[in-house]
Amino acid sequence: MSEQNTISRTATIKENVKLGKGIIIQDFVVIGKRPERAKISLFAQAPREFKPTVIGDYVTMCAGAIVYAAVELGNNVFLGDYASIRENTTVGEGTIIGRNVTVECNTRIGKECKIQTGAHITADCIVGDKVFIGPEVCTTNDSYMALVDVPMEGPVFGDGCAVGANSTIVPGVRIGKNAVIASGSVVFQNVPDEEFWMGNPARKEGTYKQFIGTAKMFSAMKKGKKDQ
Amino acid sequence: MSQEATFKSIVCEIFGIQEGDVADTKTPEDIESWTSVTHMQLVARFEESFKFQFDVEEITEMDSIASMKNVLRKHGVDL
Repeated sequence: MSEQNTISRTATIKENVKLGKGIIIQDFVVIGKRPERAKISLFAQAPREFKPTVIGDYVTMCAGAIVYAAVELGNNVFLGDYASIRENTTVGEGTIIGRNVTVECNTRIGKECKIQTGAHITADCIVGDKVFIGPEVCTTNDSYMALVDVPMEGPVFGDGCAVGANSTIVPGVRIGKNAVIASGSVVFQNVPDEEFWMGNPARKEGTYKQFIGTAKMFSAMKKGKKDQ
Repeated sequence: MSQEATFKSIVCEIFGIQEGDVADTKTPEDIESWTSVTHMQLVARFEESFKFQFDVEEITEMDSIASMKNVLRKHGVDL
């Protein structure tokens, strides 16, 4: 791997950004962007001072990706086209963030995660290591949709859990380690470690072990068919 | 109810089929409703009804009614 950075002429690198080596920065990427809030926002105006934005070695940022101030991207992180990572967020080594993924502020994402196209990771979310988040998964952090003044609380994803496409995870819910959530589920309550949940509202339908055994059986059958 | 009858009733209920269709030769290719979701439901119901736990390899092996019965017999189910 080349240790030289490849930076498009159309990319914008703001002040207070530290770049590692072997980084690829494609067209129209913005790094170190300071957040702006609407003039009528209910929240306090954005702070003026931020920690540096730190981009690890061999990170790839595809076209149009936006990395805000005070973000830390670990080595070998990949950001797909138009991915947006808000301020005060960390992304662990080897994590892949797909196209059009939005990661809101004050979020921690662990190592070797796969967050697929169009997923929305809300503010104050904690994502463990080796977590799979499918396309268009939506996480939320405001239980009462701004109608009642309560603290916001992002969901927590345990190490190794997997959430299928288009699922919705409501504020403060904890998805246990190695738990599996089927596509299209709406999760309103904590999911214990090693369980398989599905539906709306989601409920337990099996275990991680049953899911893996079943997945292996059906994939072996498909492979057998292909090999014939 | 005998264990054989319990087995058939679970398979019929989960797959939505008649008792006469529970033949040893049947596989997911023959039973349209035998999907990954119903397979997991079946495994969960067997574990609950016959009071044991499968390991991952056993769940993977159960790709026909015959192989399902073989795995259950290993756990002492009288089929």
